[in-house]
Amino acid sequence: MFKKAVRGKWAVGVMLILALVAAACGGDDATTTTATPTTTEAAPATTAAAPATTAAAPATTEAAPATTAAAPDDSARTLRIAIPDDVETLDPAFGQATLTNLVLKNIYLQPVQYLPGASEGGFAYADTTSFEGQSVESWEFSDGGETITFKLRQGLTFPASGNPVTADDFVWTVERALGTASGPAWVWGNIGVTDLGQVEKVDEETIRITGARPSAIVLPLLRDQTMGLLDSQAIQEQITEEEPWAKNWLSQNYAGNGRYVLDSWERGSKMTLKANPTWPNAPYFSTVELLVVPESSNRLGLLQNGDVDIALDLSAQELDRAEESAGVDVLSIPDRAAFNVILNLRAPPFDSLALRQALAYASPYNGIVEGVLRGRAVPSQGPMSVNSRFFDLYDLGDLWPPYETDLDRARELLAEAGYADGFQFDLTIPQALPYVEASAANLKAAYAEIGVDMTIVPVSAAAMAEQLANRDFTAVLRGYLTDFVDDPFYHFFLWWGTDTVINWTGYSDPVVDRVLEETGPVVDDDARREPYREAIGRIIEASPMLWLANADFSLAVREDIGGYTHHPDQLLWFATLNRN
Amino acid sequence: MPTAEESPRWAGARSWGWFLARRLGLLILVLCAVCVLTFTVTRFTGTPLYASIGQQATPEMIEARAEVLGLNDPVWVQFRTYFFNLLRGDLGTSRRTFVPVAQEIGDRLPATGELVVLATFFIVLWTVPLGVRAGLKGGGAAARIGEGISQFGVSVPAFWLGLLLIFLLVFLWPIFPPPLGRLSGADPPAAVTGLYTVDALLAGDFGLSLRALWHLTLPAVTLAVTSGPPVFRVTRSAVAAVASSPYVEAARSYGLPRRLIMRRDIARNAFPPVLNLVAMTFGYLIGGAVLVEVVFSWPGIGHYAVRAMDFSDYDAVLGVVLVSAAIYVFLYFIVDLAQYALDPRLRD
Repeated sequence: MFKKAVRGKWAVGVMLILALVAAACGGDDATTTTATPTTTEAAPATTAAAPATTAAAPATTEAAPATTAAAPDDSARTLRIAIPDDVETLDPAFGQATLTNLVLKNIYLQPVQYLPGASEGGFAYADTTSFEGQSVESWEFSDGGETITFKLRQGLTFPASGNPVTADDFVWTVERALGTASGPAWVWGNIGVTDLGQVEKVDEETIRITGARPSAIVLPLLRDQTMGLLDSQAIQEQITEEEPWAKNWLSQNYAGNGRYVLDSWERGSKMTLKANPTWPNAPYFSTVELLVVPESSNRLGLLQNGDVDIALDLSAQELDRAEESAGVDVLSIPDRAAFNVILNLRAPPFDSLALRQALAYASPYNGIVEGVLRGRAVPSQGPMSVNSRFFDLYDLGDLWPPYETDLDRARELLAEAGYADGFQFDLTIPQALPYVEASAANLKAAYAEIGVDMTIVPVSAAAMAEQLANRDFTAVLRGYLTDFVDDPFYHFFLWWGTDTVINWTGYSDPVVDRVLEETGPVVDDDARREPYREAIGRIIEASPMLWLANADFSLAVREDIGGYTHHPDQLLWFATLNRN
Repeated sequence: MPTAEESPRWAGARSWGWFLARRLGLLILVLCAVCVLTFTVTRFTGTPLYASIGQQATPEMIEARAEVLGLNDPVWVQFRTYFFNLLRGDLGTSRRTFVPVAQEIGDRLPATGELVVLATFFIVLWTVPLGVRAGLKGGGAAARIGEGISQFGVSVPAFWLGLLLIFLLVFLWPIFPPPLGRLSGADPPAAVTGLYTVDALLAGDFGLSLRALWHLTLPAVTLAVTSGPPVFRVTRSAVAAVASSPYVEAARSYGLPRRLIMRRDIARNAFPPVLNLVAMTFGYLIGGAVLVEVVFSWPGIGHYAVRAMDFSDYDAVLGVVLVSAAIYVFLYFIVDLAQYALDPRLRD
């Protein structure tokens, strides 16, 4: 009896071991064909041209690549993307999640978008100094930038309703943004538009905005995914007393005319987009299928198998495995994603400069960059990313010797701060984000070396947002944060002005406030150079964050996918993609 | 107990009436308690306000959004509004997507329901025959196989088994379809019940129905292996206990046919606890299949609930909990009815 039982358990054990071995082998593709990862060391373009204050209508440059004699069949013209979660809403005013923003950017027409830059290494950076009209054909700044005149692109319709695009749609889109006090209201506010009276319909194709706030970021803000043009007629038909802006209706019904339009949406499973038939130049892919695959290892498996063309949101380990797989490329694009520990300067212990600097010298930069992020990042050198256009342009690398791990210096500073025996603090992190958890564990081990006891506190997305909004935290490692616009003014008015919108650290410096105020209306890059060098140097010295790394943007694709253009907002732009 | 002047039929009807009234009352009480408890817990664990509006929001925008979301009202007013809306069948609106919760759950519940029904079928399929055989013949092959599957099932997490099956049977040997939800590579059938296998049959497309069933198989097997072991063990022990009881021994000694003993004595006495557990497992899987749903990209309510919890999306969380609880208590109600009908002792 005993022997039988033991034999039975042994058999089960063998099954389990076999299963484990099989699972462990899962990462290797059957063949050993080497992938050709198109990693690139190319820095972003560093052209110093300031945004033009007057722009003629740029030519649309995203025409499909020349097709050869035989037209590819439907499946070749279908782009299949594995995404980790479903889209939350179709209302461009209320998108929050990255995936939702990605879709909104493609299915609605913003006033402008960036032009692609020169392609190198399998992808191109968007040229952040050049724009092309989307819903508008041209724009003109006058009165020193306080008046903007838009000419609408002619001949466009909203495919779902057949309604023509008119100036009334543009005005009503702004009215709805201000009325709902939602995302685009914030964007328009930063352009200087806070009242509908500032938006005037001149004629059927012309809109004039007065009282705008001149700055270098007006055009970059107009490309924001929240700025999509709405079919005012179709939406107004859905308005009720309880729903003056038809939020519920627009959350699940489509009323736009982007480069792609919504074809079908199986909630929780699949969204199908079709190329906009009313747009003059058809993109290469006539259909884009977004397939919800929450488990990242499945997204990788589907990509390796050729079931999808692109797999989003793979971990660093999975990207390594993708690189080793036949038929798969990984685009590792040096980018501005910031990976920082945000310290709350409003209260002890991090109101102490020496203490903040002590942690900056105790942080394990190489362990995080090489170990956790597997080399798909570089150590950060301050608030502006080393991959920002402005890092080289303003020679920010020579401002301050970058913080490097130096435990002796950290102990000295700890003693100077009056914490020679160490101290305890909580680090809040988001739940279920493995690279953040691993980085937090590295930080905890490193700080323990100098006697600092750090407790890692995982919280939900809602709790994280609440703590940050109420500034109710000690330290936060939130994950990658990327400014949607690569510009020092944009960065400073978000992060570093006293009481600016996401000044979570509580950093306050009159000199920085002065720089922010004085450089706001300046659009010339050279004229802003010295003020920003001064301000950035002061922030680095004050160390309100622990700047750990600037991460690459990594995208795993089938090797026949080309035409990727990397935008500063990291939101995939389908119109330039093609199949080689 | 029937009084002297009561007819047995009237006494039976009165007994049934009391039983139904008590059970229905309890059912409503449980749902109310779940509603109050979940409402309270969600309010204490965070607010959807900041996650829904995003990080770049001015105080004025936050205030306006709080008003729109009804978060400026006192909690008891929020509860009163929610409760009265609930009585009208309105489960509220998601504060993240602005879609009515009833619609979102309605979209996802058939996916979960179809998966759980097949998983429960598979559970019964492997646990009951093996459990009965193991109960009748203590150390036979059936006992060893059943015990082996049971030990494997309780030892491996469901998500891990799901990933393993996908690796082996989808990517390595492509027998099953890729984990792309309920139906990959084909348009879903016209919605009637929301159950793809059924709707495809209603549309006269037998092939599509089979295809939907094929997509269901791996996730259902995963659930059946990891959730079936308790049913196997209860079946085995219940059958063993009944099979060794004096009345079964007596029946055997009278030389009654084995099939008759099995049907009349063993099955009727051993199966009530099994039925109870199967119903409980079914109810548990409605909300508890979340990890398998994630692994197989299955658009069910479990995955939806987890996303809602992450964003403190009050009405969505409440909706899922209430619907799951309602299904759970309704199943118990049905099982209670069945046992009340089958077991005369309960009616005495």
